[in-house]
Amino acid sequence: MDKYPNYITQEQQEEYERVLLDQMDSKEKAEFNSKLYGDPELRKQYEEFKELFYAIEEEGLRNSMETFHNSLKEDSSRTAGTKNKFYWYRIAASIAILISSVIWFFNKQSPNEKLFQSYYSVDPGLPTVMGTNDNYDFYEAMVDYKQRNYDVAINKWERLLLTNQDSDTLNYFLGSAYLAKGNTNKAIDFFKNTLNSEVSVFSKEAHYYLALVHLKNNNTVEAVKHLKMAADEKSGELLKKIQE
Amino acid sequence: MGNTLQKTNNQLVTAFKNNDQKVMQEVYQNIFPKFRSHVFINNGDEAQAKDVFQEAFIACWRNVKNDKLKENSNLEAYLFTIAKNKWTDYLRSAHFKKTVSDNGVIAMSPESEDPSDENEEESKLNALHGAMKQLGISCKKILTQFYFERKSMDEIAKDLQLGPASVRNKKYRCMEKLKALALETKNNG
Repeated sequence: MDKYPNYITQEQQEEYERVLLDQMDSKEKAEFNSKLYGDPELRKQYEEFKELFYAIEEEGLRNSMETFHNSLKEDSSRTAGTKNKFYWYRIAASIAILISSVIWFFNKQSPNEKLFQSYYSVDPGLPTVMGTNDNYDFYEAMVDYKQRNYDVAINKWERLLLTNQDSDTLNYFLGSAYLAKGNTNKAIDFFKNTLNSEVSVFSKEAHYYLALVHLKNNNTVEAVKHLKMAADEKSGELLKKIQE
Repeated sequence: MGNTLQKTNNQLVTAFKNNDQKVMQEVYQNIFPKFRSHVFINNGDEAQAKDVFQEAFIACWRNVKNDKLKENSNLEAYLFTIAKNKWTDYLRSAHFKKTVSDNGVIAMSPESEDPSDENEEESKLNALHGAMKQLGISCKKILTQFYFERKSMDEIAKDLQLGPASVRNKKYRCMEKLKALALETKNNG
């Protein structure tokens, strides 16, 4: 007889541990998530386990912080306190300078830059459904993209691109991610790649964003060219504004 | 001092996620003195600074683990901000609320959580902390080494001079016990 009959099995506990200690690869994690998603009872068990896990971790950190704090006293007797104060004043001063230069920058931006600012918004991305499908890696990166972790998303997508050079979807979202980061050269390359595939569902969007990138780079001729090719309502509107 | 400045922010985030005590200690020692100066200027003492800072450190650490820190935002600056906000909250709750009417105090940070939810969370947490205290020393040691210090089962087995299979079993039994203790504490409390 078990002493505490309601507790999870050892195998379950070890599975939850592997999730929380980040020891699962992405495929395994996806399988776990979809299992959890379809089973409310399991989800409850997992949440309860997670609370225990967190409590132990926190207790550990609290104990460690006592050590951190005690060794601090020995340290601080050796360093001068005034140094820190000036350090923070310096930081405050540099922040103030930074803010004023940003304000100055936005006031002096060109008309094209202003148009870019008012028309550009990051492509919202594709809906992500957690599950065990072949495209798991792609959608995992999509989650990063939506959370604005562009570097992480780019990293993952570029890896996928090695074996899918011609994928218009990959090229399009790589372009979007680079543009969101402000890397216009890379964005242009990837949007152009998107247009290489003959019938892409992204072609209108790719033309539109290419136009915006060129606008940002103050290349009105190219921007107009791509807006004409995008030929939808918002492109038409922007085109008019440029030609005003 | 200043060692953490040489580490990239990503390294700090990874270290927090893995409970790397050496790095966490560096961050603690970098930021606490600055926070203490802030508290001294704002009507506080050393003990208050320590308590509030440690709560802030826990909150920061938890948020980093849950990926709430935005990419490219600086972890140390984030910690300092949380601590400063907590100090503001502390001042409002401990001193001002008793002496100044609510209308006289401007809220610095939104505190709109549902109080009943908060109480529920709090009693759950208290139950867990109470349970941790009642857990035997050897259980505490095994669980802390595995979950917080992130030691491998082999290392723990070596440290406790036990075979790997019995450490594995013991870990399971200890968690089972902790869960039961937490339930008991919650039902009695």
